[in-house]
Amino acid sequence: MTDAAELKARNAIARALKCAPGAVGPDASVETLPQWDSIGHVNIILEVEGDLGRPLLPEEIAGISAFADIVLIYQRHQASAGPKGGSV
Amino acid sequence: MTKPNPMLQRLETERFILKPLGRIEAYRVGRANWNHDPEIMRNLVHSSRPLGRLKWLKKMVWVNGKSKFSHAIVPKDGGPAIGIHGVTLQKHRSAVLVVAVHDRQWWGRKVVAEVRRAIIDHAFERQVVDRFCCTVQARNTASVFNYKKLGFKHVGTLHQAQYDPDSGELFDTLIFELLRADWDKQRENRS
Repeated sequence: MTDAAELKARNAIARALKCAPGAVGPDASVETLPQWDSIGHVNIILEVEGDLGRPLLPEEIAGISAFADIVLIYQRHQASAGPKGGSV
Repeated sequence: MTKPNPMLQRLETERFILKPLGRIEAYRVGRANWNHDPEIMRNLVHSSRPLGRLKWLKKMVWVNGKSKFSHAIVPKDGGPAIGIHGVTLQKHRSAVLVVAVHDRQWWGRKVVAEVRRAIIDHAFERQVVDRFCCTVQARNTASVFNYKKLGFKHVGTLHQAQYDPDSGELFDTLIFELLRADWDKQRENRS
């Protein structure tokens, strides 16, 4: 689950900032990525919301300043969605 | 003779002169550039509707020389002001910040971080305040970014606390705070 969340977070950031996914390392943040400016930040939030299919909660928006924060959002989303195809 | 308030000083950043504004200048610059810009108005007063003169004077001119101070953001390369930064002092050595950059050519060019860093540095160094506290619409993500970038901490959320008369929707507001001790730590790390 962690790998999938990291992949999604990396791709979302890369799409939003128009950079290669490889440029988004585990320590990527508003401090380390020069492309991550205020407009980039808006785009990242829109990308994540597009992936999740819902608007982010205010607390989630307030919590984003690094790759790890976005991974956490995807992880929580996956956990709340639960496993697919489970039997009763 | 009393000393002038330190927030009335002209400041400089790498790219900008921060020129203290009087009430008339603040009225002129703000109203001419923001009143018919729905995006700016929505972020400042939660409604895109233009304001009349008196309402503008009351709500949008952040200058009184005692507790409200505004600086025009003027590029050093020349040209008119591209925006205004305002500081409102509150009880217990706190202050609220507000900013609007109306020249869209400067959007995404880290203007707010540069200007606000200089204002905050100045206010702390000159012992004007010990704390900044700001509220921002949760969906104003560019503004949220700027607070986070400057090290403001999210300390609370007001759910459905504000009303947009245009859309009829209630929206959430985030509260951010910056204390002197946290700013000092940041400055140590930067140097």
